[in-house]
Amino acid sequence: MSARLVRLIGAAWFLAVLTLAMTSASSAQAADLKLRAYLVWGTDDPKPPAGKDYKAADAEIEKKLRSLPLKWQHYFEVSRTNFVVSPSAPTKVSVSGKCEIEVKGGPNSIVDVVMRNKGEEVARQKQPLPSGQYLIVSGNAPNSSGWFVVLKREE
Amino acid sequence: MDGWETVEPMTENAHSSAEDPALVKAAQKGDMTAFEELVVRHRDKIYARAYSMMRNEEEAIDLSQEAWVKGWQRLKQFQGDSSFGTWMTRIIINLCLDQLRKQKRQRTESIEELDEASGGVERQMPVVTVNPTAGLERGELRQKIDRALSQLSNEHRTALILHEFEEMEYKEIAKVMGCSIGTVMSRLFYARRKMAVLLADLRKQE
Amino acid sequence: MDYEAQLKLQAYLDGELPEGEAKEVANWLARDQEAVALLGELRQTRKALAGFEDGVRLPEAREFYWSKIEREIERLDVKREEPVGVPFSVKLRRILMPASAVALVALIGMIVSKEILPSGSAYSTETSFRDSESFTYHDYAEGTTLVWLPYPAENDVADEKEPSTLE
Repeated sequence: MSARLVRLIGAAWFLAVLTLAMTSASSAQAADLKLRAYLVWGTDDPKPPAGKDYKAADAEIEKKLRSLPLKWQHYFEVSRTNFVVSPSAPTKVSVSGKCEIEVKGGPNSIVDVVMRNKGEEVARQKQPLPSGQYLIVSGNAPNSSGWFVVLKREE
Repeated sequence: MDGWETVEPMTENAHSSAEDPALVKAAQKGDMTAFEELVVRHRDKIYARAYSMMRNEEEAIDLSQEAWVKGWQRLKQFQGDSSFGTWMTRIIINLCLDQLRKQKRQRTESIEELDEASGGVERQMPVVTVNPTAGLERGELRQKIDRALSQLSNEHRTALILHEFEEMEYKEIAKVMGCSIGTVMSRLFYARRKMAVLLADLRKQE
Repeated sequence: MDYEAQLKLQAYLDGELPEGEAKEVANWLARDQEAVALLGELRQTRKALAGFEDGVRLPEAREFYWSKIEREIERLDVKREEPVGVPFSVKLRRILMPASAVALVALIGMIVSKEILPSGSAYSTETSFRDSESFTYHDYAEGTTLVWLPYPAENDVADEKEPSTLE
């Protein structure tokens, strides 16, 4: 291969790497993400357990859960919160004494969700979460019920 | 092959009458015909295990052949702690588990599997009292079990196979499947109860 | 009979219980017909499965099956042998030049896609699970991703409280 062609390829590489670095720097600014998280309990019982004043899940959340092939008849909201996530400030969601979820923000509307059971990382889901879309982390709960952490991106 | 002695291969007559350890020793020294004899002796068992796990003939054949190639490559690591057949069975099980994990990542779960995973149904199944084997020829029973196994999810079927066919303890199954002992117990229980119901239903359909 | 008791019965059948617990189960069986029935069902299923694989035969002829294995072994053995006599610099040039051209095209493509496509869409989802029982379910029409975990584990039921709060 001629020396001239080699120099040409080298120059093109340098320009390409420089351009990539510049565009990455601008787009990789990790904008903080505003999220809303709902902790929801799925059950076949029409009422929450005695002593708990859980209300029925919002229509929007219930509709979202019913659109999935899940078996439960009723969904109750245990709690909800709005929070902002960034790479430097993860938010923790405690599901039970042994199970928690940690949410971090990343560039390009990425949410990075780490699930821990007994302190050990057991799962990770990293994906874009555009406004209006949902990421639901879920699992079994006592008495054949289910738990859900419903994450929704707020404007 | 690098580092392998050149030896006279055993004759075909010697192969068929040799015990497995002798064949393994010869194969470890590069005697391909000795290895071929081992393949002939154990191929049905290895294929059977692959088919039980994968439920697909073509996949089971491919994976069993891959297992034999891996067996040849790893032959020097075989110390004789277990029988050669058991050693090969562990290779095919691991290959099948890897393949099942790859398939799981690639597909969306079906509604039935989601329901099965979210659990609870096996606790409510009524106890089956009819004997699923009564009055059946071996071949007929095998067909029924075959159909029933295909209706279990990969995880439940694997737990059942590792326990009932491979005779592994809960602890070993947990290690191989990468889950807790509690999960192994739940899966095994579900699989057994579901099998009982399926076999009873298949009998009713006759 | 609760779920934990059912699993204990299974463990008893499988010889997985320590001696003390096995004796307790044996005593329990002496007075509980429901437990006896369930144990009977589990035993029957085990009996039905015994020897299932014994009659299975490989559905391929010996020579054909072996020939594919032999070919693959030989192919892998040939691959392991390095060619001799080719200088390292020549090998490097043969690989680097076309690889550089391909990589450059890919890099330009990446830069263009970052500029044209909306943020987030060039990023693919990453999922990792420790437990093979976990899975994800996507409903693209609804814009929903469900991540299912087997936790809390079913046999922790007795110890678990209701789902707690966000912090």
